[in-house]
Amino acid sequence: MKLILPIIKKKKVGNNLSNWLFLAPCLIVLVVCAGWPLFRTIFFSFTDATLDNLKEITFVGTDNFVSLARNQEWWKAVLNTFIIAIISVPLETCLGIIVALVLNKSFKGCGIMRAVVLIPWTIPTIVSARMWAWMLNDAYGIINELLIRASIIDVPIPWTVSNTMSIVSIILVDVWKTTPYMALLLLAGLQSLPQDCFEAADVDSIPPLKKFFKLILPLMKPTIIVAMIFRTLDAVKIFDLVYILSSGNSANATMSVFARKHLVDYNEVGYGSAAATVLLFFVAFLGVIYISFSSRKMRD
Amino acid sequence: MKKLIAFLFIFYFFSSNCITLKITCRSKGMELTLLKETIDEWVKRTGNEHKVEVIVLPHASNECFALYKQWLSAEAFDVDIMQMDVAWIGVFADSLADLSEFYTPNEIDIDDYFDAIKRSMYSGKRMVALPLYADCGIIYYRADLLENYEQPVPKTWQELYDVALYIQNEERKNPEKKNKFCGFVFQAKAFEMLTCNFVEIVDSFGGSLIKDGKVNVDSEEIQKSLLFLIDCLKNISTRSILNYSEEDSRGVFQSGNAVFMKNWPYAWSLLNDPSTAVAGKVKVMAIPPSEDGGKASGVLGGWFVTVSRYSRHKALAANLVKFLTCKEQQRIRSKNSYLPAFKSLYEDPQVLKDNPFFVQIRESLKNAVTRPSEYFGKNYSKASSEIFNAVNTILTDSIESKVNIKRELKRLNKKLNTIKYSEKDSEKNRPTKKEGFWNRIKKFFGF
Repeated sequence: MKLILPIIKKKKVGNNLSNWLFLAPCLIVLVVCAGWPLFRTIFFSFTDATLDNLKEITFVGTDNFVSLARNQEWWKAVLNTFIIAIISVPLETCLGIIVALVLNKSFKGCGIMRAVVLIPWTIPTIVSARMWAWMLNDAYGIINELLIRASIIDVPIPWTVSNTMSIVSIILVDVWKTTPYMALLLLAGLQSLPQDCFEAADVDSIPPLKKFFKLILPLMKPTIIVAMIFRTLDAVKIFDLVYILSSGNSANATMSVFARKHLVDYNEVGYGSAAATVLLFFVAFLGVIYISFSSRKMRD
Repeated sequence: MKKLIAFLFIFYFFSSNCITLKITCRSKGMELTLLKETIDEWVKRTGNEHKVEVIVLPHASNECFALYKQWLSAEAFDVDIMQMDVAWIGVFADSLADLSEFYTPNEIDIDDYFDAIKRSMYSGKRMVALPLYADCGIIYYRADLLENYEQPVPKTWQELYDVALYIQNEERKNPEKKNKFCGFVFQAKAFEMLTCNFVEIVDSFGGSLIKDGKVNVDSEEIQKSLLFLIDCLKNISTRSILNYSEEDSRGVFQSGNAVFMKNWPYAWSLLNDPSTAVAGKVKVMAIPPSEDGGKASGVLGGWFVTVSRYSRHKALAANLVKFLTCKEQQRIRSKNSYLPAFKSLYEDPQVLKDNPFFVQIRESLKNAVTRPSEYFGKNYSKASSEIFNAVNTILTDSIESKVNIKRELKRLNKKLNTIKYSEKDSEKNRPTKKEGFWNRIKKFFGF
């Protein structure tokens, strides 16, 4: 301890240059890998660039954004994105809390259980989306087969066909995939709660439900909100599930699918970049909420 | 020491001579296996000097298209030979090498190609692509089922509908097939194949998307053909075709759960594989007309081989292209029912023995209908996605509620016109002289 302390003290007053030097590799990587593409995307969104002609471009001002605002397909994509986010995030949070509460109890094999629960989260989304697309297929999918054998339904449900049903399936798969992630975040929060409150509650023999609503939930509130914001940031960007599980019709596209389609399929780098930039601002807006929330929490 | 230097020199000489060509290929059906065999043969014949690396493409063809766009717009040299759908050649022509530079005039028997194919090979006077195999939309049917239920081979769409409905109802009496069996499977996922299917059915109803140089998609024939498609979807098909690509529908047909299937010829040899449920029971017919006496149809497909302009080994690549597309190789590939692009091969007894249905296909190929790729030029992909989106929307909505086909088609008409118009517009506005990027920025800010 004696040895380390002076070093820490020295570092606190240490010169600025060495701080920047240590930060430099990280900053350079960030600028090259995130800053430059970001800048280019925003730059392209004000031009009429096409994919086969990125050099001879003209500035068109805010034309792209104006026509984006007038495009019905875009608003449909925005609506779809928010429907998916607004339904899936609360569902994942509720299920996540339940799973976290179960995992928080120590029982035989709880260590293995915690690892096993994480499996859906560890499978790459594109793989699990394909997997679910096969399982949901109405001709040879196992889900319909099981439902028919259990006599819940008579006729196979075409899960990924109609617009409404494919959004339902996307939400289902998204919930399946990200509940473990939420559970893990919430479990971490749950385990850092002060134990004395619980002991006091046990002494007073408070019923479990009341304990949950009056004690655990209020104490967990900051963690839950942070976790929900994280998830929402992710959910707004949803791409792979939609790409695989929907029929490719623009009526069930989300914002990122819309942007990709215009960027790549339609050749319109300018227009697609505008869509991507708007999506960026949506995400940035949520990010700002998160930061302001967490800094308020710090002040408290 | 001297020996070592000599050895190193020889080693360097040989290693520098070895070129690795990169070629793209899809994994649909037998394509990949066949291509690898052909390449091994080529490598052997050229003295094992060079290597060829195969890049496997995504399943859906519009995804391959997007990939090519990224490569070619980045002027990437890490792909030399690209397999392309016939509709894309016009789009990419500027980034493709002129193959005629590498061949002597009589090296390739150009006059033996079908006319529609010959036209697709050229961009202006440059020969930018050679056909690997032709493709034409056809209908597969279960000859055994038709015989069992004493039904005739349909000659028109209406007859096909009646036969399919009858057999479907009979087969569904079997409890095991109750929910699975359907009369007719095709592809209605919102992707390129739906554009093909739409162009084809419109043609067989006597309509055309482009009339007298103008977009004309709200005609009566097109409405009729869409109404027919809706009837098919509702009564003799399964809803999930709205999310089917070629291989999905082959899955249903191959497991014996359908009477008719619209697909490309590649499925023939796969369906006749002894391990399948339908081997030896399948026959093929051309896309029927809507009425008696109408002309049979079929959409021209086909994959062509092109060499990237940015490739570093164009001459060698052109050599491999020639080998891949030569008559001998097309004959070998026809064993797996890939259609040759040469007319003379349709008279070859061995080829006809392997594929008796080629007789019908030769006729289809002669009056095959093409997708409007020439008309839309560089904007074809956008036009095509507007078309398949609109058709997919109409079909999807028709299940859930009543759909106003006329209004949807009017909307599509307007969109397609804008696409066509914007192309002209941008050509007009595009400056003829290359202006530097910084000059442009300066101009924009006004200094």
